[in-house]
Amino acid sequence: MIAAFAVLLARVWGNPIATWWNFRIGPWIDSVEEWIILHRGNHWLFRWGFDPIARWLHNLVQWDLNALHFVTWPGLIALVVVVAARVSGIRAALTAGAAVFVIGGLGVWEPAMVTVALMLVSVAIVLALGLPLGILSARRPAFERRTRVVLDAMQVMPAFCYLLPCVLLFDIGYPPAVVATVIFALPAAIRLTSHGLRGVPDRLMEVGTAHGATARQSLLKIQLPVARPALLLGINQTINLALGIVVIAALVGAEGLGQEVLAGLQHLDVGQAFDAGLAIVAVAIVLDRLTAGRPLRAARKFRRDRTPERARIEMLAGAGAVVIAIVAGKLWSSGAFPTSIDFSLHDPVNRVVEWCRDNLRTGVPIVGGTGSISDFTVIHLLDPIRDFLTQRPWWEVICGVTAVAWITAGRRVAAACAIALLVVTGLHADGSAGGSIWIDTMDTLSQVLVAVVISMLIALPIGIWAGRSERFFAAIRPLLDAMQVMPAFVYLVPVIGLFSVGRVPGIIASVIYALPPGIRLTALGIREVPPETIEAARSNGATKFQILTKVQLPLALRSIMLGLNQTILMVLSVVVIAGLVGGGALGVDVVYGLTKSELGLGVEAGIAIVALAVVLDRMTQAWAVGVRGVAGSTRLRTPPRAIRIGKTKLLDQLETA
Amino acid sequence: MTTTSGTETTTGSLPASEATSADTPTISCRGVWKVFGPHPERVVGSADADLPRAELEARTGCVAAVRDVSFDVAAGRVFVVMGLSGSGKSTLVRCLSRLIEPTAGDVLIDGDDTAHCSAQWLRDLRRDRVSMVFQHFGLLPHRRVLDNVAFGLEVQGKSKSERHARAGDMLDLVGLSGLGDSYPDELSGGMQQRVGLARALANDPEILLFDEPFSALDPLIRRDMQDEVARLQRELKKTVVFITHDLHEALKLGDEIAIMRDGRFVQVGTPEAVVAHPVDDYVRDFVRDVPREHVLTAGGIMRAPVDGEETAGTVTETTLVSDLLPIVVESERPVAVLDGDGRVSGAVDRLIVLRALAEDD
Ligand SMILES: Nc1ncnc2c1ncn2[C@@H]1O[C@H](COP(=O)(O)OP(=O)(O)O)[C@@H](O)[C@H]1O
Ligand SMILES: [Mg+2]
Repeated sequence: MIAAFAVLLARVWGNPIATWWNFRIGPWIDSVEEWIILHRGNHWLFRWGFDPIARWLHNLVQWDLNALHFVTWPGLIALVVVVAARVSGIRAALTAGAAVFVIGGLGVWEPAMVTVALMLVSVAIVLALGLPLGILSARRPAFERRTRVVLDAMQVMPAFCYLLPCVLLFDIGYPPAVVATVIFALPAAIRLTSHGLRGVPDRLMEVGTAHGATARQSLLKIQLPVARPALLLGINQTINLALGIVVIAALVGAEGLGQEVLAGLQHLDVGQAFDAGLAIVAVAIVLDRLTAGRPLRAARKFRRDRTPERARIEMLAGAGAVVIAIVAGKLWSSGAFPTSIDFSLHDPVNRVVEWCRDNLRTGVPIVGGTGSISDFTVIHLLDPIRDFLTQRPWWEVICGVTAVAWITAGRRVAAACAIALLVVTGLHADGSAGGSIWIDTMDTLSQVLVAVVISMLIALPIGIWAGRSERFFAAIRPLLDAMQVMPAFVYLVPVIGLFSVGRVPGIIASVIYALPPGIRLTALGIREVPPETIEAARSNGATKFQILTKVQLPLALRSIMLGLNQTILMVLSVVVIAGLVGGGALGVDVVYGLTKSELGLGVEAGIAIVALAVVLDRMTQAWAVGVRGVAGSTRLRTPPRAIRIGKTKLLDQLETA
Repeated sequence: MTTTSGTETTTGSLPASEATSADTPTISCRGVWKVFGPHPERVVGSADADLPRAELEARTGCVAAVRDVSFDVAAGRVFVVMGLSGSGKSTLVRCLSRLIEPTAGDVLIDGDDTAHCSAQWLRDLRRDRVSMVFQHFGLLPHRRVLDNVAFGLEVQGKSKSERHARAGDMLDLVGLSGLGDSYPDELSGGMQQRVGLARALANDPEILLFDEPFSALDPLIRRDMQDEVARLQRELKKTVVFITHDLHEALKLGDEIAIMRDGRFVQVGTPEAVVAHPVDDYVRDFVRDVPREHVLTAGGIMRAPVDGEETAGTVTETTLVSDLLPIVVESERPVAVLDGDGRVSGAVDRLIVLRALAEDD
């Protein structure tokens, strides 16, 4: 039936796609852009709408920045230590204090303060909106259903797609950075809040009702406190996401650490980018320690030991320490971080990069060097897949994808895939190399598929190992955390050093970037297999290998599928970065569209990326839900929708130069 | 099919002593139904309702968890509902305080109809008059034991000092003095359920609902907890509905037992009546392993007295058969049975006792 329908479509539209089948999104966007540029100064929409908001946001950030400067660096260290000690305990406090010190030592104190100020404002807004909306969507399924599409779109959309509209509406500087960050992190905040609240077991909520609690009492006395750990984790994640995007806000003229990384990238000065990247990790660590809270046991001990007198003494001591530190900072070199403290890694990093470039590109025994690996990948993997996809008539591809979706994921998913791909056929802007958006979409798809396969091939064994060995997992966890916080373009620099320019470095950067969720979710799935189940298998005489293949992997399959889903979305989110280093196709279209002010082209390419995301996301999510695993059977109940956590993190940066 | 309608069975087998209390029963269920699924009201009372559950689900997409259940519980009595898992016990007990809204039927508490009443009225009912003890304890993990026990009082808006004092008393009552500062997960299962019990008692309700409170506990601890509940019940005289799937528990605690199957009451009666005269194979299966001599009483198995017969001694109607055995083993003569006022109301002899023990009707 699909085939018949498709042939009919093909008759109507022909191949290549008929010219009348065109949504004219690009031209429309371009005209909007023109209108905005013309009317920015005098139209009421700006005078009474966007401009006051922009001013307000700018003032907030500036105020924070002034406050940070006022406390000086010793004061800030003291403040961080005192707050972290109260919230998360002494050890966390020392780590956080050390991290602040390191930021100074890396020589990026000023830009780091800008980043922190942007973060404070953005996160405050995200939480002020996200927590109430999250509560609402946990308690009102209808609200959740209605907002789902909007949140999905916000999360899947590459940040580029709204970064530039933000600039158009809010002008350049802090305000578009804050707005883009809020748009980016808000869905996660809402979803994680709602997910945390829904995670509170019904039987506990019933206790409230059974005691005659009002809805409000149930929320305040049961649901929120029981969900507290999950909510804190959500806040933590939200902060991570926000940090990722604040960094790329460099592209719209918001200074900060992102600007440093970008500058390093533009001059191929890996050392500079590396220092700034480290500082970003340090900021992430500080923010994490400030919000992590104590582990359960320590928290209880803390609460039990804390008499009112002791609390008061701690308060006074903490406040005293901060004041003394501020005064000391004012007296000592007027508060600027002393240049004599310097542990920048600029020079050693640059030396390593140079050595690699000189020695590894060709002539390495057996593997032949990075150049040969790159050529091999292109000739034997990328090109065949791309040619296959681009040389097929468009309707064949759509039918194929839809049929696969129908068989593996059901009718609704198939319909979503078909519609998403049909939308792409209606985009007519000339893509890179004069090809249409459809051709570029297929090209990008080939790169995404290769990157995803490589990612999963690496993530699976590591994840399995991490799932089986507590020690290994503990060892790689900090690395995974760091990988997720580092802006993707920091990886890009050494990768270019090794592989020159082309599709392969883009793929490698995406693979590195997309590894953590695959590894994490695989490990998680394996760890969540109940020990009794494994014991039962062992008592039946199963070998370790049999336990792995017959018990752990099948039960972890659902989690692994979610990992696959996350991996795909991560890879898609760096498509634009791949475009920067020669990945071509949609990524280049977006970059070109934004830098050359051809917003129409950029937006059409962005829509195509979203369409790809819809297809791959829907399909893999349906697979994950269809699989029976540790998360239990889904019979009779609506399947829990996989929540997105990582996702389109720090996208991209954009070479404005 | 021996299934009788709930209403008939209940009124038919009410023990005389209870039927005499003329005032309104504390809990009264009239034809209560609970059907889960789409358009549940269509199932109630229709021909579909009598279908086995798989067929009903296939035809209507509905699960009839409770079907036409009626019963009364008088003040201070313990009413036990027994049945296999999935027979609808939890649903039924939740209908009593409308934690689950019945699809049809009336639930009266002290004669007040709980249908059509305001949300506030229901809240007050749950705050002041009805408490529940849960199978999975339902303790709030983020609260200390003391604050868990005080939860109901907190919800009522009692002051901190007042509710802590009361919660402390409750902990003493259930034997957990001094553990108020612990967190629930630091206690053993048995202790956790004691906390659950203390919490249910804290607002001094007149009705206590237990939903398989001890199923999750080890057998030895379970027995302790049963003794504890029996002791508290002697002291506090609450009106209790107790759900269990353990017959020994039912016999130990219940003044009256209802056996539930597929949402219906198949038999309601005193422990002795259920053990002595199971109405069908389902009930018979339940009572098969019960040592009958520990449940059956002289009053339950006696025949009418014959004027002038010689007796080997006297026992009372409540004497257990296990205590009768040595007497009838000693003598072939019948034993006279005296009622509460000391008059002869019947007699038992060796044959009657043997038949009662062997009987498998
Ligand atoms: N919320 C619900 N939705 C659908 N079916 C339910 C729901 N709650 C209980 N049931 C069904 O009703 C029947 C009775 O359940 P329950 O009262 O929990 O039994 P019991 O407590 O005796 O084990 C079961 O078959 C169960 O599947
Ligand atoms: Mg139950």
